[in-house]
Amino acid sequence: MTLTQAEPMHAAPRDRRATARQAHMWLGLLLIGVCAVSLESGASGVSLLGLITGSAEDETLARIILWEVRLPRLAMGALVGAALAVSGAVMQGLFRNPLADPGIVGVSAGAGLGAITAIVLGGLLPPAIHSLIGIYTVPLAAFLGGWASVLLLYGVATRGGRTSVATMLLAGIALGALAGAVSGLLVYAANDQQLRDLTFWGLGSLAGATWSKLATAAPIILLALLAATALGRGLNGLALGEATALHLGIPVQRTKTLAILTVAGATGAAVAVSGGIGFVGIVVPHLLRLATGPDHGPLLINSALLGASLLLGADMIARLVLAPAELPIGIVTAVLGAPVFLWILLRRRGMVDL
Amino acid sequence: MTLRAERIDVTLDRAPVVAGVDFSAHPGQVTAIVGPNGSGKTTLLRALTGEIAASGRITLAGIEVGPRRAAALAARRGVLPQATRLAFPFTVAEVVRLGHLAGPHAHRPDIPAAALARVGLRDKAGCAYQELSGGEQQRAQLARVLAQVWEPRGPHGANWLFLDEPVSNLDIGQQLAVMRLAQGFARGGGGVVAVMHDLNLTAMVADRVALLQEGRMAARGRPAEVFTSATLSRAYHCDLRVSTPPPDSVPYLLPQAADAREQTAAYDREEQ
Repeated sequence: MTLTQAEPMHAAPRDRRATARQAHMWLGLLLIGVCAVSLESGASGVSLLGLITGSAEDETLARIILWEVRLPRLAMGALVGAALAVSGAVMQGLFRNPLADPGIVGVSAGAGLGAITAIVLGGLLPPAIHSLIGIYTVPLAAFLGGWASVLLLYGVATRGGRTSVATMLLAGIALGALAGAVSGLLVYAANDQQLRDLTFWGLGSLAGATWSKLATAAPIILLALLAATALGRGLNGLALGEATALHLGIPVQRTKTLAILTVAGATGAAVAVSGGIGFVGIVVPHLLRLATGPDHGPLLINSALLGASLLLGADMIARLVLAPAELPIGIVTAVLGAPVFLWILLRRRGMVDL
Repeated sequence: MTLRAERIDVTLDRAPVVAGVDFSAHPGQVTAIVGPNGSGKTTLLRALTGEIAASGRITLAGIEVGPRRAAALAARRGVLPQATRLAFPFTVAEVVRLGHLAGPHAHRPDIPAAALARVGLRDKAGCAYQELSGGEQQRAQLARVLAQVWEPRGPHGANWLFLDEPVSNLDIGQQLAVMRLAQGFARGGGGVVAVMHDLNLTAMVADRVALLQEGRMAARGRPAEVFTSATLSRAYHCDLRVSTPPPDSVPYLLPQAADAREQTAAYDREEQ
């Protein structure tokens, strides 16, 4: 039984699933390529190739630069990029809105407040707790700050599973302002050593990457990325609305809780080690949705791969444009990302119900 | 096998919307829920699908209906809401596949295309859902629901369709086609529960009717039993005349325009 009289047999639906899966491979290759180029390039002119072929002038120095400077920075860039892009994709699925991004709606600011609090007031923790969480104090505090922010935002902007875009963006502004103000107060309370830590942290840069710093963030980020791979089906269901997701057999409450924890973990850990790097979370998922469709299964994996490549690329620009000085990477991502954000807004103008 | 609901109360924003309703539906039948605007039709359907909390006991084939049994229910029941707005630019085929993957026939790749063909949207499979007209979106969602349950009967017995005003955006030909599809599903042994607005269409396709009035069950039974001039005129607060013309004696109702004019005049007098 059919409802229409004429049914032309044209155009088998273009299947974006295959494209999205192929993209895993292409983006994986891209990431490997970017890693190789990134490892080769730097202010010192040291080259991995040179080290391997034995043509390096000072082998010890080359080894130190590669092993202690470029490699941890590379790993951190890849992890932070993946974390930010996946945070964006998960948050957009959770809020059912392609404009949701941890940087734009104040989650990064909340995580930053957590990090600053830990740096300035971490010394007041009872020694027992301090020795227990040790180096993880800052990332954990950032995670808690991010978590509180997402919960608050979700509570304010979402009602009955529907998010008001205007409320979300405005609540994000308020959240960002509040976090900024409290952070400012804490800076006043900081002593000299803490101020140095804060400045270093606040640069929003991968420049401070060390293996030990990486060790504090990597487990949280990897855990969050792993959790994200379990969210594909649930977020697809939520795209149809909470009620329909339920009727599709999706554990809605569990999906939402896991999504919030994932965003808080990935954003918190990324912010804790690299400060506020914006726009990766909005640009990457958006471009991928245009290319391979909105199915969250492949989207989340592709976001991690492209996010890592994008941030490493931005880091290379940041290192090389003014070499031997370097730009804060947040400036590079903002220059690349802000126009894309405006472009998304333009395309959706008239479709967004504010 | 049956859907049973006993003494259902639903309170939304502290106001009782459905009160003390007993409801049952059986496989092999189309059960329609009708009633005036605001009588609680959609609320009752949402309670019956476990979407909103209700006091009382609701079971579908012995399964307690509610969020905790979402997966078990999804294997044997599809739910069509009044309208669905999508957050992201999925194509029509992708929307249908979301339903298909949630059902027990996910291993049969032919179903999504067949479901779209059933609702007459085969040539729209590759289109963006958001660019479809309201009627096309409604049919695309129906295809998603069909792709989820697909067979009227599954390994555990009857499958179910819950439809909230499935023809509200459709022209008369499409309305008939969709209701025939629902009827066919019921004839195949499945259960269909549908909230309906058009009483004549309901009389034509429903096997059982539940008439709600201000959140309470005003009448239940076969259309010929429920659709009487007296019952309907009382429920809808206007003068309706029901006749049962041959050849099939399906109740057919006509609003009485003259009385409606009088009634309007009466309301005007009251307001003054």
